[in-house]
Amino acid sequence: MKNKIQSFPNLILTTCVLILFIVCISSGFPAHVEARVYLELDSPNLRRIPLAVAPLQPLCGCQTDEKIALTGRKILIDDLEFSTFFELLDDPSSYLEKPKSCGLSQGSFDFRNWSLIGAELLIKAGYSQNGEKLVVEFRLYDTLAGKMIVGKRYRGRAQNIRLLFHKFSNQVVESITGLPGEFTSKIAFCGRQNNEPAQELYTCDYDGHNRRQITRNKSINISPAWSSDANKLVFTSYRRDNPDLYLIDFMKGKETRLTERKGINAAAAWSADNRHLTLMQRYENHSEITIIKTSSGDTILRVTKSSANQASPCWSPDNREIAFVSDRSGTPQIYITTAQGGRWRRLTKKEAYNADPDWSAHNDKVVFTSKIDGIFQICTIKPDGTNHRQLTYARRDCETPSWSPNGRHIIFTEKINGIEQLMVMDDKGRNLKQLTFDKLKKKGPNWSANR
Amino acid sequence: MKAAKVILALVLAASLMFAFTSCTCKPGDIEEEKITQPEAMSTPSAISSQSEIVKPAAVTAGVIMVGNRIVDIGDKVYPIYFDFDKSELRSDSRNTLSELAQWMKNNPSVDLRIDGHCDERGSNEYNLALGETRADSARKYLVYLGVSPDRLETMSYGEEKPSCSSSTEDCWSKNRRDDFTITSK
Repeated sequence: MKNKIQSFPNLILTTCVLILFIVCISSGFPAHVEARVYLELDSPNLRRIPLAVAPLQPLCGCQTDEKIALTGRKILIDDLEFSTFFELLDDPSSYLEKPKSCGLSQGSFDFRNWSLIGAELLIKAGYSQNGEKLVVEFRLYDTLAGKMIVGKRYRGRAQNIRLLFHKFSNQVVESITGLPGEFTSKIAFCGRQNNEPAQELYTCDYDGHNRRQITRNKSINISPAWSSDANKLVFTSYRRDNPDLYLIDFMKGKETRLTERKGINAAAAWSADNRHLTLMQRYENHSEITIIKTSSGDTILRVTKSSANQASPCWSPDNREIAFVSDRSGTPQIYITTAQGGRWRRLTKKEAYNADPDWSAHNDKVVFTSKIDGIFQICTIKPDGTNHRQLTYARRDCETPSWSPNGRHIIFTEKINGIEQLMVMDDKGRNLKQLTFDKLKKKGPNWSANR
Repeated sequence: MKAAKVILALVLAASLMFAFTSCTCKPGDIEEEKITQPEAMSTPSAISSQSEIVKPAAVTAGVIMVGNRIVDIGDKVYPIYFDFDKSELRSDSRNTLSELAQWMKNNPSVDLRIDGHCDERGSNEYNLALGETRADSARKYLVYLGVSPDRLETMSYGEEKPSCSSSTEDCWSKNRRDDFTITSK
C-alpha cells in the first residue's frame, strides 16, 4: 500500500522565505517615529477603525490583470474583516478617487478623497506579473495624518498569491495593534470520509483555503500538533498496530516514529523551544502525563503519578506549568501541575465533564470544552480559576478548541447536519464563522504559528 | 443475562507494505522588502531550495478483527459493553468474561488482545484514556479468574473505531465496548 506525505509547497515556502530586504532609506518615517496608538486593545470601548482598500492597480507600465486585482483585494478585505479590528469600507462605487489617474505613492493622490468618505485608514496596492513571477507593492496610509504607516513590496510565484497578500494583512494588523494577524498560519486536523475506518491528517490555511491531505497510510491518525515554528507536526497513528507518536519534519521532508512504548502515546504538545513534548503515555495500565525529548522520543519525566487517567496535556506560555485532564475526582476535570510534577491544583470546578484544555500564549486564558446541559460547549478560564466564561451556546457538541497564534481566535469542531465542521470565533465567542462545508468529518483541529 | 449470537471472525491481517514514496516540493519564494520612499526599488535575489519528503517503509502483520465480530471460541464471546463515561464491568460482562476465562483455560496456547472503545461523545483524547481503562477492567477480571497476565494485552482505540456510526443512544451503547482478538495460537 502506498503511504505518502503530500508535497507541501506552502509550508516549505514560508520557510524558504527568503531574504528580507529591508531598505531603510531615510524616508516618510523620521528616525524616531512618534508612535500613534491606533487601537488600545484593552479599552472597553474598542471601536473598529474605518478602512478602505483602493482597487488594485497595475504597477507602472504593466498590464491590467482583473483576476489578480480582484483576488488580491478580496484576500485583504477578508483577512482584515476576520481580524475584527476594522470597519471595511469595501464598496468601490462609494469611492471618490478615480483610480486611473492616481498612483500608490504619497503625493500621487489626495488624502481628502478618502477622509471624506470616512476612511481613517487606506490600503493601496499595485501589482505586476511577469510569467510566473508576481510583484505586489502595498502601502497602508493614515488618511487623517496624511502619511504612510507602512509600505512593503513582495515578490513571489503567482500561484502563491494568497500567501503574498496574507503577509501584508499580517503587517497591517501588526502596525495597528502591535501583534500580527493570523493570516499566514495553518490548521492541521483529522478527517474521515463517510464512515471509512481510515482517518487521515489534513492541513489548510487559516481561512480554509489550500487544503492538503498529509497522511495516506489508511490507518487511524489523531491529535496533530504543530511545533512552535510551524515546520513540524507530531501526531499519533495506529498504523503499526499501536498508537505511536510520529513526527513529520516538513523542512527535511521526513517522517519518523518517536515512541515505541506499548499503549497510548498521544495528545502531544510542543514546548516553546520545541525540544520537548508533553503527552499521555501508558503506565500501569492507565494513562499518565509525561515529557519526552523531541530528538529521541526518550521519556525524561513522568509528570503525574496517579491511579486515575490523565489526558490532553498542554504547556503554560512560560513552560513552567502543564494543564491536563484527569478523572482523579471521578469525572474528567482540568488540573494544572508544575512541569516538574509534584504540586497540582484543580482548575475547573463547574460542571461534571471538562476536557481538552489549550493554554494561550498571549492572553493568559485556557480554552476547554465543558458539558453543559448535556451538550459540549467551548469555555475559557484564567489559569487562577477566575473569569470562567461560556463562549458557545450551540445545540450540537462543540469540541477540541485550539487558540490562534495571537490568542484572538479559537478554532473548534461543531457537528452540523451530522458532519463535524471546523468553526472559528474570536476569544469572546463573537464573530462565529463556519470554515468548512464539505462531507469530510473533521476532528482535533490544531492552529499553527504564522509562517 | 443476555445471550447473544456469536459470529466467528478471525481475520488474518493483511501485511501492509508501506512503499517508499517521495515527492519534490516546489518552494514558493516570496521576498519581502520594506518600502520607505515612494517607488523606491531595490534588487532582491531569490533563494530557492528543495526538500524531499520520503516515507520510511514499514511492514505490519498480525491478526485482526472486523468491526465487532469476535473471536471464534466455540459459542460464547461477545464484545462486553459499558455505561457512558464508565469503565466498571457490568454483571452481564462479568458472566461473559467468566466464560471467556474458562475457554482460555481450555485453550492454553491462545493469547488475547483486549481493545477498549468509547462512543463519540466527549473528548477524543480523554476517551483514549477511558478506552485503556475499559480494556484494563476486562484484563484485570480475567487475571482474577485465573488467566495468566502474560496471555493478555490491551489497547485503546478511544472513539476512533466505532462499530456503529449513527448518533443515537442505541448506537452509542454498542460502541462503548471491549473487543477481544486472538493474537496467537
